[in-house]
Amino acid sequence: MKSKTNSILNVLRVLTWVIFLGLCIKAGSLLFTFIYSLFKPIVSHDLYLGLNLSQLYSYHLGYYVGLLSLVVSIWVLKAYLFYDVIKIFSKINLNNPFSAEVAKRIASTSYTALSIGILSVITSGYVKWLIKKPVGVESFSYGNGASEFLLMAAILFVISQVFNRGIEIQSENELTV
Amino acid sequence: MPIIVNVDVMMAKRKMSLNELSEKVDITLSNLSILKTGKAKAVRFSTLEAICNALDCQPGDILEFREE
Repeated sequence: MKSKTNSILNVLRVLTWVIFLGLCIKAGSLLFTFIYSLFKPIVSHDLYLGLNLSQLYSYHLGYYVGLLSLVVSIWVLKAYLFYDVIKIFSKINLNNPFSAEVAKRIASTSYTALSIGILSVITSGYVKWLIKKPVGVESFSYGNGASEFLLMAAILFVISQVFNRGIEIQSENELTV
Repeated sequence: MPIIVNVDVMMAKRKMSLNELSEKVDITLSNLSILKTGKAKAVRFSTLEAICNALDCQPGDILEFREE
């Protein structure tokens, strides 16, 4: 049973690294092309995997910067969320799983997920508002995962509270003579 | 905590050192120190029994309730 848990955790650790690197590449590329497009407007035709916001760029630079800032922030936060998960995997000790460091990381993950959820809601609203203008963002859909991230934040927060209780019980157990 | 552990008082009365008690009760010095300094959150009946046996006393001689 123990060896099975360890192998599952090892697989999850590798998967988390893969997802983290993927998200870093995506966030980095988007950030790079976004900044580059501010100096070379032609770049806005293909920001990342065919994302074309040239019409928005030519309509209003402020709207363009606002939208891309939100999108880049979300992707950076997603990468940070997986960085936290990697940290949790590195800090967790299965013989003594309830530690203050892990509880802190889980709480931090829940706050990051909450931030992603809130930013996704804002982005979704912003895109809906932009669609009313002739700026060519009809095909750009964002913010569909907002509710999932908010739900995830709530679940992670509950888990962090359970962890805190686990730490209390563990320390009481250690101080039982 | 309003529960006071008087192990050190009983040890002094019986002229027993911490090492000696640790050997007789068969608990580690660090655990005995946790108990003596009042940091312990709980005491097992088996530990209490062993301490009472080693110090030839009653649990009431070791544990005391003092209102805060």
